[in-house]
Amino acid sequence: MIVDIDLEKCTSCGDCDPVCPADIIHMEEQGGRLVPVLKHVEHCVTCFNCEIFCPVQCIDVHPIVRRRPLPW
Amino acid sequence: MLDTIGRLIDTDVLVVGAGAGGLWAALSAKRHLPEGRVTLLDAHMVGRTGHTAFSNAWMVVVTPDDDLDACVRDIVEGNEWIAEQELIREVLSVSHFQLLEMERMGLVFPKEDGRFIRRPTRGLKVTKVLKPDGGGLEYCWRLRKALEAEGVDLLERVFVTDLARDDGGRVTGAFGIDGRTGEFVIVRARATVLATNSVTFRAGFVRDLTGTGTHLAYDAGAVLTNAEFGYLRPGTPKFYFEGITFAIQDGARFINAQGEPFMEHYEPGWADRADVQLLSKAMVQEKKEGRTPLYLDMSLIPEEERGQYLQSSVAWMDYFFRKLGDRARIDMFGRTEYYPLFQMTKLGIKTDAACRSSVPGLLAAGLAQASCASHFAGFHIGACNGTGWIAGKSAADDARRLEGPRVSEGRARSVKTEVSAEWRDGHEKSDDDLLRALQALIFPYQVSILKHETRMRQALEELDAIAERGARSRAAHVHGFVRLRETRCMVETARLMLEASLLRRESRMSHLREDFPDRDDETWLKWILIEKGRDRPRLRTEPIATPLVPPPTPRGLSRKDRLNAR
Ligand SMILES: Cc1cc2nc3c(=O)[nH]c(=O)nc-3n(C[C@H](O)[C@H](O)[C@H](O)COP(=O)(O)OP(=O)(O)OC[C@H]3O[C@@H](n4cnc5c(N)ncnc54)[C@H](O)[C@@H]3O)c2cc1C
Ligand code: SF4
Ligand code: SF4
Repeated sequence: MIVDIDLEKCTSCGDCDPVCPADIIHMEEQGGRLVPVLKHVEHCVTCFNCEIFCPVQCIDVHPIVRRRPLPW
Repeated sequence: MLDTIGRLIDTDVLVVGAGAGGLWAALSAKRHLPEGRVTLLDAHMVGRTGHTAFSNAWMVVVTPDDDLDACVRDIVEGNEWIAEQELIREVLSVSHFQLLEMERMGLVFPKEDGRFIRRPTRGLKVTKVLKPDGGGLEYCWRLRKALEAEGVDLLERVFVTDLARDDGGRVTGAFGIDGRTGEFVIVRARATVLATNSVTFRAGFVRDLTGTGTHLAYDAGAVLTNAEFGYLRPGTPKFYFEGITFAIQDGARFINAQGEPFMEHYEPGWADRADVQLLSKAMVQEKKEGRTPLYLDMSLIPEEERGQYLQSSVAWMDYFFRKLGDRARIDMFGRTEYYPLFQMTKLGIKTDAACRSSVPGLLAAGLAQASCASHFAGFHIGACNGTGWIAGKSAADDARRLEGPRVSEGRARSVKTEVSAEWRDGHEKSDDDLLRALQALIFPYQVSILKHETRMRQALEELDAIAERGARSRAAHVHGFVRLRETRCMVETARLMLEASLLRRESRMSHLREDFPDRDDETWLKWILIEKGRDRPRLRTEPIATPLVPPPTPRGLSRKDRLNAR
C-alpha cells in the first residue's frame, strides 16, 4: 500500500494522479501550490504505478497488502 | 435536449474498457471504419490500467509455421470443450497478424536467430506463448500511442453506470459519470463494445481491480455464461508471485504437512507442472484428507538461480520483489504456506463468432466475452487480442449498417437522478463492510472451490441479506459510488455463480462439485445461459456446438452402445 509522498522533493508535476488505477492520489491546491493528496488509501491496489512514474522518486509503496479471508 | 442533461458525446463506435480487449477493439474499429468516429472510454487512464497493464503479457500466438487446427484442438481440449470453437479459431487466425502489428508499434518481442522466442505454457500441449519486453505496461502504452496516431478518441476517468437503449431494445451507447467531478456523461453510439473484463471479488493486489460491464450487459438483456467457472490458482497471502511455473522448473515442489510431494499422486504425468486448476483441485483434496498445511518449498531452488526471482521485466513486480526482503522481511526461498485461491470468475457475455451479443448494437471483447472457461497462462491476453480485433470489425460493420442511435431524454434523466441520489445523500459509510461480508461468504473453499448443493443453498440465503444491504447503501462521494456499484456487481455475480454452480451437476475444470465429482460429457457438454428475470436470474442450458473439434468419446457407454451410436 502507498505509505508516503515526500512533499519536500515533490515538484508538483501531477504525473502520479492520473496513473493511479484506484483513484488514491488527487492533486489539490495547498498553500498556493498543487500537491498530491492521498485519499481512500485502504483501496490502494499496490500496483506501484505512482512510484514507477514519479520523475523524482519521492513516492514510497510498501509491498504488503491487507489479507483477504483465506479458503481455510 | 440531451446536452442539457449531461456532457453529450456522439460517436460511431464506443468501446468501454481499455485493457487488451478494448485497446484492440478500438484499433480494429478505426481500421475498419476509417471515416467514422471511434471512442475508447475507461474509468481510469488508457494505457496505465486494467489487469492488462499489470500483467506479464504472455500471449498465445499461432505463427504460419504452426498447425492452426492442432492449436484449436489444444485449447478446446484444454477447456474440456467449454469453448466457442469457431471464435477460438478466428482468434488464433488473426494472432500472427496482430503480433506483426505490435512489432510495428515498437513493442519488442525477443528473438533468437531471427525467430521469436516462444515457450510452452501450462496445460497446453502444442500452443506456444511469447511476451513483449516491458510486459503489460509497455504493451498498453504502445497500443495507446497507436490509437492516438490513428485518430481514436480517448475518454478517460468516466465510469459507465448504465447502457442506453432505444425503444426496440437496441443498445445505443452508455451513461456514466466523471470519476472526479461526478459530471453526468451521455455517449450516443451506433455500436457499443464492452471490454470491461470479468468480475473479481477483490482477490488482492491488482486483482482488486474489477469490471462491471458484464452486468451492464445483463441489465440490458444480454445472455451471460460461464458463471460456474473461475480462475483458481495456488497462492500465498504473504506475497504476490506469478513465477510458480519457473520455480517448479528450477526444483521447487508443493508438499503437504507430512512433507510429501503430493502432486505426483494426483497428476502422475504432469505432477507439479500441472495446470493451476489441477494444482488447486489437488490442494483441496489434501485439505479434505487432513494433510494441511500445504507448502511451496522454494528452498529447493539452487542459490545461483535465485537472483532471477528477485527481478522482473514487469515494472511493478520488479519494485515489489526488490522491496519484499528489506521492507517486509519476507524470504521467498523457504517453505511458504500455499492455498488454492479463487482469483476471479469466468462470467462473460455470450456472443457469436463475430463477438455480437444477443442484444442488437452490443458486442463484447476481452475477458468480458465468454470465449472459453480456462485461459491458461497466455490465452487471457491471447483471447483479448483476438476478440478485440473481431469485435472491433463487427462493431464497424454494425455502425455502418444500423441507423442513427436514439437515446431518450426521459431515460437519460432517470438514470441521472438515480445515480446522483446514490452519492449525494451525504452518507459517510463506505461499502467496505459490504465487501468484507461478501468476501467472507465467497472465499471459503467450501463455497467457491469445492462446491456442494447444501452449502451453496445456504450461501444463497446469506447472499440475499448482503444484496439487500447493498441496495440500501449510499456513498458520500464519487469514489465511494464507483466502489459501491462495483461491489453490487460482485454481489450479483456471486448469485449467478452459485445458481449456475447448482445447475451444473458434474465436475469440470475449475467447477468442482463434492456431490457430483465426475465429469459427465453425456449430459454436460452444454453452456449454462443466464438472462435477467423479473426478480431472479433465469437459467437454461444449450448444447455446445462442436463444428471443429468433435466431442470426446462418451464415457460410461459400453462398447456395444458406442458401436450402435455410430
Ligand atoms: C498480475 C497479473 C499477471 C497476468 N499475466 C498474464 C499473462 O502473462 N498472460 C495472460 O494471458 N494473462 C495474464 N493475466 C490475465 C490478463 O492480464 C487479463 O485476463 C487480461 O488482461 C484481461 O483483459 P481485459 O481487456 O479483458 O480487461 P482489463 O485489462 O482488466 O481491462 C478492463 C478495463 O475496463 C475498465 N472498466 C471496467 N468497468 C468499467 C466501467 N463500468 N466503466 C468504465 N471502465 C470500466 C477498467 O478500468 C479496465 O481498464 C495476468 C493478470 C494479472 C493480474
Ligand atoms: S500503488 Fe497503485 S493504487 Fe496505490 S496509490 Fe500508487 S498508483 Fe495508486
Ligand atoms: S509524480 Fe512525484 S513529483 Fe510529480 S506530483 Fe506526484 S509525487 Fe510530486
